Amino acid sequence: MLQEESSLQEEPSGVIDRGAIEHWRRRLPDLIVIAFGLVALFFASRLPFGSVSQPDSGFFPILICTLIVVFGCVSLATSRSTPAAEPDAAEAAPVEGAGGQLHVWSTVAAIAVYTLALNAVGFVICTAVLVVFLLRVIGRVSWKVSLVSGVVGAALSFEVFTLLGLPLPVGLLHF
Amino acid sequence: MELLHSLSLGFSVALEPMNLFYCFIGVLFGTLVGVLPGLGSAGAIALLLPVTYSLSPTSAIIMLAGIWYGSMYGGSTTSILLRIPGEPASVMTCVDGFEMARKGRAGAALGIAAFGSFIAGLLGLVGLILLARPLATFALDFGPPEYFALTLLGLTLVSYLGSDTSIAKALIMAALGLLLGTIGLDPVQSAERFTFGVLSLQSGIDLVPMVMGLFGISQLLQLVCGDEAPPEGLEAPKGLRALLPNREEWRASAGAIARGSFLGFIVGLLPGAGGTISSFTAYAVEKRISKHPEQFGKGAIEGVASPESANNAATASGFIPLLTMGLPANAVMALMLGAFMLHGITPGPTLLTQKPDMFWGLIVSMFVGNIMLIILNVPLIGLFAKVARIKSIYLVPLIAVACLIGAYGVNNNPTDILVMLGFGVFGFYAERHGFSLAPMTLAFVLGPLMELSLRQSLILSDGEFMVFLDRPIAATLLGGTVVMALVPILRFVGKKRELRGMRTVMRSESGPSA
Repeated sequence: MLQEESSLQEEPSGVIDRGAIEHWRRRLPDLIVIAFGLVALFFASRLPFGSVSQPDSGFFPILICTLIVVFGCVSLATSRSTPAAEPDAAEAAPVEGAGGQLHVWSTVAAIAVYTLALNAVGFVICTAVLVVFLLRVIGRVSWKVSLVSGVVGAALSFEVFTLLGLPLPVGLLHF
Repeated sequence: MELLHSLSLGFSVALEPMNLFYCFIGVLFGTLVGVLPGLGSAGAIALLLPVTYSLSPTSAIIMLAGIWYGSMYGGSTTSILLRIPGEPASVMTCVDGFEMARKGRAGAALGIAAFGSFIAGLLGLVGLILLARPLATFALDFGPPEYFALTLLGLTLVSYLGSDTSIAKALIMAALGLLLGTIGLDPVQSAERFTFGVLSLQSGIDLVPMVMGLFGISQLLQLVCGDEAPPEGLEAPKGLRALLPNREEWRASAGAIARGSFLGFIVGLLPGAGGTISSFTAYAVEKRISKHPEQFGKGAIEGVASPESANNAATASGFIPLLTMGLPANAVMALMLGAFMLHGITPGPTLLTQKPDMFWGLIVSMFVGNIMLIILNVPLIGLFAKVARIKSIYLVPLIAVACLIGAYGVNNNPTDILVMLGFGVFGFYAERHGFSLAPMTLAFVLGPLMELSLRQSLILSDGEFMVFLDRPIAATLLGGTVVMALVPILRFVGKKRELRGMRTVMRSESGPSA
């Protein structure tokens, strides 16, 4: 009896915690927008506003930043009052695969590393490594296919982009 | 006579070998993009923007336009065979197209989609030719108040019509785009704004890395995030005969094609509407007026003919505001505006008089492109169906490399790649939380014009806001904006009243029994 009571007492607080997390998770994007709008308004207010008859460089930015804050508040208020009207972000988002966010951030990191290495290492090597990474690590394609795709892809891209007149960094090995 | 002379100029430009080649490349690439669900036409145009640096402005615009209307053809193939829309504008085609395919009429569905698209595309172009000159002449009377009112209406419509989820979120994105457009030097006083001492920001944010990030990288991140098995679906019919609808199907489709073309053309003129809304509208109207509405959703050929005609007619009319007034009607047109600007050309009422070869060359190239598309799509449907089954992970390196080199090629500066990556991450998470990217792109492109028009109007009128109401065109456009803004507010108030009424009824019903 006492154990049942304590478990009953525990469950409501667990539900509230999950509900509170979900409550703030849904509203976080709107809160970020409002915060961003306020910060942008702060920086915009340091520009000269001028007057209505002689609007200066700060006139339009201040107007727009104010609108961002207002629209952010409207979005927050309307999502509170009609939760069913707006699809939940998790439901609206496409179904994530097993990799999900890890794949996303791995890809972002790979592109960032590619960018930093591009001028030093050169287009062909960087592109080949990136293609192999994307196919093998992210896509779980076989090593053979990934390596062949990487080499062939980098070489073909080099030819195509050179023909199109796009500048390509050559790097240490001059290709 | 003048029209004939203009058309003959257009033919002389469009039939130049290089322009024919780039038109073909554009429509072929566009069809592939339409077929592949993982890559949208906006993303494809963003990817190819840097490639157009080395082309002549006319060839560049012809190729990019080919991608846009080519993708409308390609989208129907996967809709009908795999029940997966290759493009958002092909969503309605899935409904009846796939049902027709299941009943063994895939050929007829594919054939009517292709022929309907072709006829609608041609009709749309006729409308474009007839309306272009009068609209361009009309737009010559536009001053700063008219341009401000027009850009405001355009952004409002894009936010209200083009948003799938929350209008407030779409408006937030539009405002954000306007704010990003203010980074750099003030267009009137040349004062620095939001540069934070960074020299490269003085010229503002470059359009190419931004759109490549928003549409290319964000799409790439969506592909790496998902886990999709190759789609199954049905086999494509073999041979030309298999693609021809029978006489009864032609008869049933004729009216639907005509109505879809007309509706698509009108809806496509509206900023924010485009192929998707026009196809939805045409489908709804066709079902409403049909003698057998119960057939819709079960393989009615009108359910394929109408939306496919509408989305193709809308691609033609979507060019009208851009070419005649310099106002892009949707995100793809905003990218086209970006392409014009990259080549130092400002579309608008003077384009017709200052660059008639480009103007008429583009229009005639769209005729030629539609002919190429019907020739390509009919025999190659089987191949396109196979392409649609490629696992999306193989698209990822392709998109990545194209984006990376495209962004690098802007200024030979790796920083542009990081800017693109930043916008890509932003775009990925923004879309996941219901924030649409189209209003932001459009606002970024229109923002400088909007600000300049507003400030010039206020300076000229000495601060009197009545300047926007004293001029009939500006007043009408502003009136349209107010109506658009009021409709959802009134709907919201109405819903609240309805809910309150229901609660009162429920309380009174439960009251006596308690």
